[in-house]
Amino acid sequence: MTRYLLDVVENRSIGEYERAGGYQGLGKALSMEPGQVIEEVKKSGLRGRGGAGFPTGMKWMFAAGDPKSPKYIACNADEGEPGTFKDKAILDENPHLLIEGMAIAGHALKAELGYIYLRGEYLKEKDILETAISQARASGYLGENIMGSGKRFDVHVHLGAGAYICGEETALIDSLEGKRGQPRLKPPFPVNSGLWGSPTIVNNVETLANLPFIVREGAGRYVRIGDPGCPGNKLFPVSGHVERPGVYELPMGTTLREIIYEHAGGIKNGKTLKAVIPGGISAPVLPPGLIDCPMDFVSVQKQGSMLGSGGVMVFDEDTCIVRVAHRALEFFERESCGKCTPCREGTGWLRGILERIETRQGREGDIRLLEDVSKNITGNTFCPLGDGAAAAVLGFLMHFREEFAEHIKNGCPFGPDDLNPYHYNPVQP
Amino acid sequence: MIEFVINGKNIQAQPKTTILQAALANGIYIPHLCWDRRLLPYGGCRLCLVEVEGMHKFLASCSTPVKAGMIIHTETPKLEKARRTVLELLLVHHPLDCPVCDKAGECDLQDLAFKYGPVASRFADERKHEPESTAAPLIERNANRCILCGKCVRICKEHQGVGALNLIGRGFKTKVSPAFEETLDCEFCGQCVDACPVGALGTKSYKFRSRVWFMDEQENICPYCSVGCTSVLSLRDGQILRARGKDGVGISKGDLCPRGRFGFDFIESEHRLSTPLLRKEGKLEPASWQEALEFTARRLAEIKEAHGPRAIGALGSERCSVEDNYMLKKFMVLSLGSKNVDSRTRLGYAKQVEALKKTFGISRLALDLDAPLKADVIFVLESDLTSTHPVYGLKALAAHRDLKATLIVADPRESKLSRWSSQWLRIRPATGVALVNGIMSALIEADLFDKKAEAVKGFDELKKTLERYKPSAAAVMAGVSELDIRHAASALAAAKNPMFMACFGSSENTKGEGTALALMDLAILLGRGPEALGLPPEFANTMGTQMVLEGGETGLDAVEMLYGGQMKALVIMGENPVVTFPDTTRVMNTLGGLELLVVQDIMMTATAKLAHVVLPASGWGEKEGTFVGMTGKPQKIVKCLSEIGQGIPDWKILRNLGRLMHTDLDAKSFAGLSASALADIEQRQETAHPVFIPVEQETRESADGGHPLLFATGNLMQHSGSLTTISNNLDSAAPDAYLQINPSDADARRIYNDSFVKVSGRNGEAIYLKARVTDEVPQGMVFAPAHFAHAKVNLLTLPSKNGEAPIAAVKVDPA
Amino acid sequence: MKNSFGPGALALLNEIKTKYPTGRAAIMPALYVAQEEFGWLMPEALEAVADCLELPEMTVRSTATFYSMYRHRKAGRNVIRICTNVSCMVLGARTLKGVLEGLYGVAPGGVSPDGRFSLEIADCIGACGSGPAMLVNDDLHTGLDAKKIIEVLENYK
Repeated sequence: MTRYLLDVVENRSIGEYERAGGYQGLGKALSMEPGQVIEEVKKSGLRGRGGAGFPTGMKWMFAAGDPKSPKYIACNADEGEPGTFKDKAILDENPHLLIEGMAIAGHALKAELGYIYLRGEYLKEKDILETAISQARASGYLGENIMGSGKRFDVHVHLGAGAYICGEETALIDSLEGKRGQPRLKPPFPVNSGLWGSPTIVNNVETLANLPFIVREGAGRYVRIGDPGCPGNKLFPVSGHVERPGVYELPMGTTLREIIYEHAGGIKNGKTLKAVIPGGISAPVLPPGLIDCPMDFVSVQKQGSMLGSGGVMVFDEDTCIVRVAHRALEFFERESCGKCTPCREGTGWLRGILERIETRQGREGDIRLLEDVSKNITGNTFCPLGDGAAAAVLGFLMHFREEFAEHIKNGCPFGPDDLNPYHYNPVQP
Repeated sequence: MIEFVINGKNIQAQPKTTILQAALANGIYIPHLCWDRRLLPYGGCRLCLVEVEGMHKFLASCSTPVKAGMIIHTETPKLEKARRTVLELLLVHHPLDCPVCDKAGECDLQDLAFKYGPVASRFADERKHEPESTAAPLIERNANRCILCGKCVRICKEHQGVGALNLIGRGFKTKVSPAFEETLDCEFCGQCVDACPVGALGTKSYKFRSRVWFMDEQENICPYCSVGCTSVLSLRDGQILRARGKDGVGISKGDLCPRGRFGFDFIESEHRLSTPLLRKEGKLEPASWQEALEFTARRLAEIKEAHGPRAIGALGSERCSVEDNYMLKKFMVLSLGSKNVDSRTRLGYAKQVEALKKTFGISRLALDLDAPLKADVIFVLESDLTSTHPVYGLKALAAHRDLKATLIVADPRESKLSRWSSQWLRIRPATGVALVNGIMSALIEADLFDKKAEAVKGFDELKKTLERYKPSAAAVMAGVSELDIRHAASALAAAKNPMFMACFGSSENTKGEGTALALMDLAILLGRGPEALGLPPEFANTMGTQMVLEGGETGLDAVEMLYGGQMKALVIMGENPVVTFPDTTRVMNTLGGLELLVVQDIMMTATAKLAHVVLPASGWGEKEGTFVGMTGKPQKIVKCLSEIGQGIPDWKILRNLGRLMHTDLDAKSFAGLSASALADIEQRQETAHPVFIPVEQETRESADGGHPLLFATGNLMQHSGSLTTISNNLDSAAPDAYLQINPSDADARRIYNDSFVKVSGRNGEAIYLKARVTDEVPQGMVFAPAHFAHAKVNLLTLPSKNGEAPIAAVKVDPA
Repeated sequence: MKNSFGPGALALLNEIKTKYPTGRAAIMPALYVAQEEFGWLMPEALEAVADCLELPEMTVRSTATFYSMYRHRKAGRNVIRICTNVSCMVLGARTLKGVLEGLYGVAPGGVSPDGRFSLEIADCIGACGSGPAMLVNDDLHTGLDAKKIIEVLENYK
């Protein structure tokens, strides 16, 4: 199989990258009209790798069609979805791939400035990126006259500061503008009114990293990789109870079974699989019976979950699902931005009920209460964060209802993993 | 127009209308907690969700524009369930303390909980235990009741342009907080209190006073500035317990400023007069109406006999109604044969009226409150409109912020307008004429003026005058850069619909008639008529008073009466010249030397203390009447309180005096009086004919080595004239006078913030004020608010003559 | 007490400002500079940021309190941010919290009595593939267990 994202360059130096065909895509793009580049991306069928799977070429076309200027390229490197560390792998191993992708986007959109919104915890990656950016500037791939084309494009790194919600594109934009990272009303969409009111495309790291290959090799070659409905390679970060956790670059549509058992080496310590979350913590859990599902946007959705970020979290037979659900909701409660009622109040409510179930204080009817509240949150929140929380709860209940009932009746059968469930000490402003 | 269906009803709306707006406009209620007509949609509360056929999700109606053919349902079992969940979620933490919450009975959350259920949440969690914030004046916050709809934060920032409240923290721990969680320190407009859908924000003066359902509501016109906002009063047992703005009510449509919302309590001040007073053996003693009026009538007749009617004069009041002033004029003319009737408008509003007469040949401007919203360039000259006319000023702010109009502010003082402006021309104090002349000169030089202006009478004279105000020269005079002047000129020239705004308040001494003339010349030069002028009169009935008193031929004006030394007797109705007129010493001398001083007022003023007879009048709220504010349209004020003590309306006092003097003033009923008073002022039809009146930059005094600082006086947002200083509410928000002085001027004199300073004028007088060291005033200028009687600011001010700005030069030393 | 930026920080801030078209957009990087300079975001630090960017201090504070990586109280000499989210949790991260509490007397949100460590619970630090993981100051440590965490922390004084 062809790998073009990871394991292609050693020691991430610009020389190695160039030798492996790096920046040829940008050179080719610069020889094309911006419209042609967009056309090529549309033809490639590339869909956003951040989670929503929106066709990238379409997004670009909307932004290019807006007469306003300047335009901005914003790279979403705020990889905050628990269970996800694929963008980090690109940044660690192949930072120039992202820079080249952004420069191609810059040319296609006639933008002169791009920002990489990097999550605050990725301090090492910040250094890597800044080094790579200065190398690229020195080699003429960024700056005033890129590759002698007379075009200008530059990139800055903007470090986030610990807010999961900033992975949502409008919250990311507000955050980049120095505001509280709360989602904005849509419309207007960022492609028309993004950073400082200008047309802005927000693309995930992995999405942008696909571009050099698409432009260099042509959309015709790209569509032959992976699933015809959704071509290209996908990065699958695998964590939890597997022998070889890590990030795997595989064609879109590889089955969960292959990812877990072939690439990640199967369940750790010879245990059996109990459950798997296929796409980061917001994706509803799947039971072992469903792991033959191909990992692409449509197939996973058919199983009642979502591909999301592709973050595969694997749990063995000794895992307490209630505890996992409770920890997930702790996360959502803490990360809710506070703007809309269902998410702000609902995540805390769900967490509270899960907490009492896990600590043997569960009540008759708690399962129905969880379901009822989750269903009434679903679809009614301002942004997908609250939906994700509700969907996660509903997923756990759908496949592991018995375990919840057992908890309510007899307490947690798995014993404590630490002393007691604790509350976060609040962030004191 | 877009056509769509809500709940089976065919509805039309303009494009960009949201579903919620369209529904409300058609009498369909959709529950909402975070939406406000004045604010951008927020989409936070999630109660306004609706079902749109063909959509797989509910849509938030506050932020979804209508589309043609949409079929919308606002009440379905599914929606009801979603709303019940949202309410239940809010009730997880909202305290159920309705029995002690002042909002109960008009609380949106309470009402919706009754409508949709539940009354409590299925999930009981620890409630919040934040202490109440009660340290700030006027406004109290109870964070436990807050549902984080963000309306207070947004109304303060988006609408009011202040930003005193902000959201801090994240998620469930989000809080509304003033800066650094310190005590709220803001304008105290109270818009946030009205906007709060629950009881998280309340007013101090209303706390625990009454359950809402025991109160009657009465709309009344605010008695303060000329905007004419409708204040909705809540009354119980003959007392006003609170005043609110109510969405859509009156021309202000729900906006109010600190004065309109909190200033109503002056009416029950302990300083109110309850009986007539008569000076006996040098002391004012309570007397009966009979005694007081007979004394007054007899003395007036004697003085008229001895010195002739020209020795008797009267001052009406911008605070009194059209009817009161009309009766005063009638009384003077018919009972005493004197035409000497004027008012304090002479020191303020009359300057612009005189200018208007000279330039356009008209005597009144009827303003549209929303006119600034239609302008694309707004030029504000030396006026802090967001303080003097807060709700009008907001429109200028909104035009700039929301509608992207260019806002050019020429003012030495920093104000909310200058902070928000596109261009702030920080001119030297009282150099508005030089600046405007410079702009006109730049327009002519660059050939950017309207060619019709060449045919206007006086164009050549104007051009000649402007030769002395070339942009380079004007820049030096006004203390700005030449480029700034040219920049402003080209912005104005490019405007399709420019607007020129200023206020001529009687205590604002940086502008004279010349300032008004220059502004009008500029309008004419750009081909504009009076409709481009946004010059609001000062007080609620300034225009009405001026119309009435100027209606006939006039005798001596207020300046001549008070500073001319010819008067033997004065009748002063609702005015307090000792405090509100410039040059207090001369005013005191004049009043002290009178053979008879009659004062009708609602309270014991400094002027009343000098009177021979004091007659108690009823105040706003205690009498019917008419105000004519900036719109030029009569607005009825309503009687909703009973009179205090023996006070009666001013017009009745005058009618009684007339009867004692055997003149029939033809005022048998209020209705009849009102009809003839209004007929008197409404008959004028005027057409504008522009003429250029060139003016020179002139001020009454200029700074020099001995008196190096220019002393400007003016208004605060929390006060109006001296009347509001007896409002306990407003007094708590802005309790005292002070002197603003620039840090460099302060440093040079070793003056520190909050230390006392001595301010001495060329007239030999000196006053003592607390210093407020701030760069809100430029170097070379000091500023003091003119509202406070005890500060005696007017000892240093000067009455204006001619067209000059009456600013005074002073010396400031540590006290 | 410190109440303004030193020359080094000011130079850095001036460089940061050039990256954005508005002063406001520089708030987040400026807050990091302030946190480094002042130790934590005390009111003086927020005011210094507001002065530097010519913004109301309310705006700065409102933004600063939204993000969990800005510290609003005094921190220990070393800041531990340990992830206990699901992937790390199922590999035993929560037991490590007990280790820290027992050994150094530091609870989540608190500072050890000797001021050496402060402990924050992180929600995923992107090291799910090698958990349990923690950040100590700017350094990432992975594959932790009760033994390794002590070894690691002994390098931070």
